[in-house]
Amino acid sequence: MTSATDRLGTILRDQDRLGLRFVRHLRHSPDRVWRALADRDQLSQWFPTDIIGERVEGAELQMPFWPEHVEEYSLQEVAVTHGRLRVWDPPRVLELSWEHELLRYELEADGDHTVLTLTVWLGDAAGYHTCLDHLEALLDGRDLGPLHRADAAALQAEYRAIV
Amino acid sequence: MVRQGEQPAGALVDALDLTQPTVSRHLRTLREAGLVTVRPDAQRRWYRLRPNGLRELDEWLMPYRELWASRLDDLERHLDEMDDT
Repeated sequence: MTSATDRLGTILRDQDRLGLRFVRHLRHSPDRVWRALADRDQLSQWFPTDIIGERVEGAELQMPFWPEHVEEYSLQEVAVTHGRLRVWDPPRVLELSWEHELLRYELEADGDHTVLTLTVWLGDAAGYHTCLDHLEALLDGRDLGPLHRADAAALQAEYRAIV
Repeated sequence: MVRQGEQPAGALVDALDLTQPTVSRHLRTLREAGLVTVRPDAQRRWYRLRPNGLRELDEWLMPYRELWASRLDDLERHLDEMDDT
C-alpha cells in the first residue's frame, strides 16, 4: 500500500527548520498503535532508544540506546540521549523532543485502522550548514574562526542521536 | 564551487576548536553522506571535499529518510506480529 516514494516521506521546510513527514496506514486500532509508540516494553521492537520518564506533558525523558543498537551502530558506550514530552493526548497526538529533534505522532482512526502521521523536525539545520561552511572554508584556505562551543555541543548530541 | 584543498584530520581539529573524537564523528557523517572523501596515508588520513561537493540538501537527507522509514517498517512489523500471537 505504501509506494516507494511515500515510504521515504516528504521533506518539509519551515524557515530554518527541515522536517520529514511520513504517513502510514496501519491495520491496527489507534489504541494499539499508541501503546506501541509509548510503552517501554514495545519500544525495543522498533525504536532505537528506551523512553524513560513520566507520561505527562512537560516530563523530562531519558532515552538510552537499547544495548542491541549500541552494537549495531558501533557506539563506544551506551549513549543516553534526552528529551521532553510535549504533547500527551492518547490516542491522538504524541509529541516529544529528542535532543535537537522534534517528533510528532498524529493518529487518526480509519475504521479499525489508523492513519499514522509522523513528523520529524530536524534540529538546527543551520548547524549542519555551519559545519559544512567551516569545513569548506578551511579546505579553501579561508579562516572563519572556530565554531562556537555551543554549536559544537549541539552538533555532537545531534549526530549521536542520528547514529 | 571552491578550490579543493586536502587537509589532514589534525588540522581540522585545530581549526575547528573541537575535540578529535568530535571531529572524527563529524567527518564520518560527512563521508557517509558522500560530501567528503578520505585518502588514507601511512600515519594519517587526508580529507577533501568531493568535486561538485555539496549535494542538494534533499539528497543529503536521503539516508536519514531511509533511517526513519526503516523504523516505521519495524513498527508496522511489530504490530502485525503482535496480532499473530
